[in-house]
Amino acid sequence: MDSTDLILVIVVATALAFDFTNGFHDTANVVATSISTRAMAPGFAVGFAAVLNFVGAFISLEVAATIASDVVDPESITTTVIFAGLVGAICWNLMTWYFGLPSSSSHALIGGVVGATFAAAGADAIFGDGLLGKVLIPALVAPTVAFLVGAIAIVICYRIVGRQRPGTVTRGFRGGQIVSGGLLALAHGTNDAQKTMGVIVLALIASGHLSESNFDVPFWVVASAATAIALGTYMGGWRIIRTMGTRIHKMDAAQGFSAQGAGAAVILASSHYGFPLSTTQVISGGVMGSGAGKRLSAVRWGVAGNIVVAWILTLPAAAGIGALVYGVTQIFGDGALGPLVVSIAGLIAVAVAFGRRVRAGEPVPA
Amino acid sequence: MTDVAQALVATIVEWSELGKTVAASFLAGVGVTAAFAIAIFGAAQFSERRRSDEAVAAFGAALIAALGLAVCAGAIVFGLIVMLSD
Repeated sequence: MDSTDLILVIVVATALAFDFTNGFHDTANVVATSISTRAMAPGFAVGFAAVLNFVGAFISLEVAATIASDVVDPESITTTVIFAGLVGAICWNLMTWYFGLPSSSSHALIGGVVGATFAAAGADAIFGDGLLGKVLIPALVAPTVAFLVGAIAIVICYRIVGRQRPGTVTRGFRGGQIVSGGLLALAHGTNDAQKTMGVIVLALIASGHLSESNFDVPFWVVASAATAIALGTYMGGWRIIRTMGTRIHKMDAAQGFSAQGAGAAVILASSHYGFPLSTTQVISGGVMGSGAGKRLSAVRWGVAGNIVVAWILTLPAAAGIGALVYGVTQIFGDGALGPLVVSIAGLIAVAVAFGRRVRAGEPVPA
Repeated sequence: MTDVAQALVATIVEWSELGKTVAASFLAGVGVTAAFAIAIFGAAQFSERRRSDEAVAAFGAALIAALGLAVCAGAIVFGLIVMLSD
């Protein structure tokens, strides 16, 4: 195995680790509303979401193609650049998980790759039009649409069922949340697992294993990304579940259904057209919309504000870390030593932080 | 925004696809939620009418509930078929 192949193996392992943290981090998006409205028991909700995330990863490859060809110039980047971008994304994901903030794994990934590419090959290697048209504008539009859809949907719901027996209505919407939660998990797998697939494809192109002009996403890439995100989802992230499920606002079953319906509709439509948007931002938008549609003061705008700050910081912060990590790997030369040293240091840091947080953490109330 | 900047943004952003995404999101998100609420309304009315022995009204309510559920199921199946056709 030569140096290039060794770096490729490290990159694929890191990409799958990122995919795992993505599932781990974003489980909250998928299951929090179902758990907080008691539509599903926590254990069942997480297992259900894991299975549907796995299935969702096989549905579409539009987003993977966008990541692999529309954001950075595949010709200008190396496997070390992709490695640095992935480490930037993982660091940001773990930092926001540590503080319980539902930030965007997708923007962390894109930011990390863009930052490392900028450090390695300069601004010319970044497709500004792809970044703006496929990432930044949809990043603004999608959560706003989810907010409006969630708000309008809940107003219509209350108009229709407002005078019916509360017990029947709650039971009905709890039943509906099993379907809407399932759709949301499917949508999450479809959009998010593809981002990892796109990065692995980018690494395969950079190492000469795939042609830039004409590539198909290999089946092993799809299957491994699907498995990693499903495992991460199953492991769960209870800290963020609590923020999403109860801290933005206390939801009833109708609001949970509206928020999940809004999120699933926006993510599935975006995946179909190849926009790699943030599922976290979309679902947060839906949750806030379903609260604001009932009563503006029902939303804890302070918590919502923290989430918005995390949204804004994600791209530049991950880009900065990605660029920094690339710089560190270059201290050890162009070979595999830099990525190896960073991987080992990263694993030690993650193990220490994870151990401390798990010991300090507390499970969400069932 | 200057004319040049406007033209640049118009070229870079795929407004047509973004517009379709927004329209599909509104239609599916609001439509399915409303249809499901109608199904719950029908189900709630059905149990009330049946309790008060109003057979015709109960049948009508059951029909409304079934129609609402059929619209939801149809929309979900249509969405999945569109996604699988990628």
